[in-house]
Amino acid sequence: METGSPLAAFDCPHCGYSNPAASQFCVHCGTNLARRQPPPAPAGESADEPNDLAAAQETAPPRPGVASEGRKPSAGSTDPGAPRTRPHGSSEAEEATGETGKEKPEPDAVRPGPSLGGLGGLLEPADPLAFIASDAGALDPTRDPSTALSGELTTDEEERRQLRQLFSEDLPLPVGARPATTSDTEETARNGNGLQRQFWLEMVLLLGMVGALLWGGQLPPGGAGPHPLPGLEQVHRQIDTLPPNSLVLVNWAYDPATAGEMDLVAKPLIEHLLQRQAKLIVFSQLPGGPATARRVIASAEESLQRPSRTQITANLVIEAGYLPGGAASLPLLGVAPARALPVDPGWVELRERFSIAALGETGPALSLVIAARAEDVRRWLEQVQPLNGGPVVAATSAVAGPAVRPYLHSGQLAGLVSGWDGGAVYVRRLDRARGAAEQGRSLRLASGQNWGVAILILALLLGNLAGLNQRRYR
Amino acid sequence: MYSFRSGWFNRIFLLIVLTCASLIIASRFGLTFIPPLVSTTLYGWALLLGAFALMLGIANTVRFHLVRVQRGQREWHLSLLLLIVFALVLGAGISSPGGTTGLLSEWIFDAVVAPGQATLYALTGIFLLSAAYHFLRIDRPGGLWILAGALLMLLVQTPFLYRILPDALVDLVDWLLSWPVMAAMRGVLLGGALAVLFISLRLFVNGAK
Repeated sequence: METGSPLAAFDCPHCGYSNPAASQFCVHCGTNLARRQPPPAPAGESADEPNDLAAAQETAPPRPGVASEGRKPSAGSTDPGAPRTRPHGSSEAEEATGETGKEKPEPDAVRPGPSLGGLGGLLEPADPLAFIASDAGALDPTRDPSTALSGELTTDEEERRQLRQLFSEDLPLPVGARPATTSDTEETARNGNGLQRQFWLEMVLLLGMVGALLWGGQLPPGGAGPHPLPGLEQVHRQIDTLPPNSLVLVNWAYDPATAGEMDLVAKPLIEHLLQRQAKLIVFSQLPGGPATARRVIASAEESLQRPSRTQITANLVIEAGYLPGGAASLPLLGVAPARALPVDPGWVELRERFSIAALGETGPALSLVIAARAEDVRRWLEQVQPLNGGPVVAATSAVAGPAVRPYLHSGQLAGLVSGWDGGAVYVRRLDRARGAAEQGRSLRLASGQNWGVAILILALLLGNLAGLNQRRYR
Repeated sequence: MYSFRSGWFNRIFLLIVLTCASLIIASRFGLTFIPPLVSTTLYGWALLLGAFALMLGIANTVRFHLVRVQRGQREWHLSLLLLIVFALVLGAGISSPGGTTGLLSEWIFDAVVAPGQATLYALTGIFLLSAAYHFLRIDRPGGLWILAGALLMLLVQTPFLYRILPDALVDLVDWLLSWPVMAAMRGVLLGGALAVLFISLRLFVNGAK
């Protein structure tokens, strides 16, 4: 990508980043620049010529919302077409002018529809400067933003732009793009680097890492593959101490999208629960969750090598189905699970109804959250666990593991198994021999992961080699 | 919430929301003057609203794509395909006595839904690879640290390297996860919770004006 001469630069009205003139979107913040470009040059003139474009920007009539967008607004500008801080609200109007190519529409025509206007207000990021402003009317939702902001583009606008630029400095840039030179960096170049905090922060982190390399080997061994897998022992202990026929509430928070990894984590735990003859009440907040749960539970029953799978299913597993409503419906599970669980009374047998009723009276002996995302565990710990007070253990993907660990350390989570290696370690703790097919499947999955990660490492190295090579020839 | 013509409508709705929120907050703080039945009923309503929103979403999707097909808008064929698949899956669930556990529903799940979802999710691996190739560069600001962290995690979590990696490296990654990453995660959790709280308050205050 060619950055071109300074004249061809096109400042983003949202973040102030200097984009090439032909950019459709800002490479920094993604703002649509196409609608803000100056009008196309007349026939016979080249629109790609930087000087022509710059001249067009200078000489174009001040069409509101279009012509003056390419320039940074000056402090105190009262141009109604100057860039606004409300991309949501203004996009429809700009789209209308861009598509029809007509003159400025009437204010009524550019105003977004009622529903979209409300949505835009909800999605608009919080603006601390708006609270500081003494004008209370700035927060009045009944005011029309298109007219309200047009006359208030003063120094606040410039401050906001600088703030946005400050916070977006470290965003990744496309290959070949050069970061915009700001006045701050120019000033630093004149004055020298000084005592930069970043340098000392990096040195402290480096020393910490060297210390961990030197003395980390003296820590007690984890004994679970290469990682200690914190929380795994606690899960095993929690399930192992369950008396027979204990009620266990299982939140099945993954579907086939992540089943490749999650099945390996979930199955050993379900197996262990069935071994302990716990009574599982399984529900899901994902449409594909109940069907996924059925398959994993059936597979776990096969692994147990019991004579009658049907009998196990009938006695130990209650399929409570799909629970809609997301986080808002979870508290009902904490205070009145019998009311919350979406069991169809037409086909649920009488004894299962009694089980669910007992769940409401005594609460679950254990709650198990099997989740591919950390958010599902967090929701359970915030919305359900404080209300029923029961112990909660979680089985998560490897990605979600680090995000869930703080809850384990704080004691809100009674145990944690994460990642396929956590599942593999858990399988070894179960009191049964693994079949050849099961071992073969596990090996295939591990092999697939090997190849995937090896390719990723290779891509990282190649990308960096290519980048350094490109830099050398530049 | 802001778009009603009459300000009184907004205020009435806001009052209902505030009352419900106050009751739930009071019950969650264990205030005894709120009967448990009230909060339980409100939770039950939330569940009903969730189910209703789901139905509304389905109806809206069907209507949206029906209009696209009727007007022959761009890529209306895909909308038609979506409607046909929707009708087939719905018909399979309703017509089978077993409902979602019926043979046809199970077949659709095994043959269409599960492979489709898994395939779409697997595509994120390609996006990840492309992003890593383009953006995890050593010559970017802070790129060395990001690259070193990514490589460390990848190396240590790769099974075929378990046997050849030194224990110190594994311990290093565990130290990183247990201390700096954990500290950052807690900060993110706390900051996120506070942000949600203040944004909610801001919405209320904005709506009340």
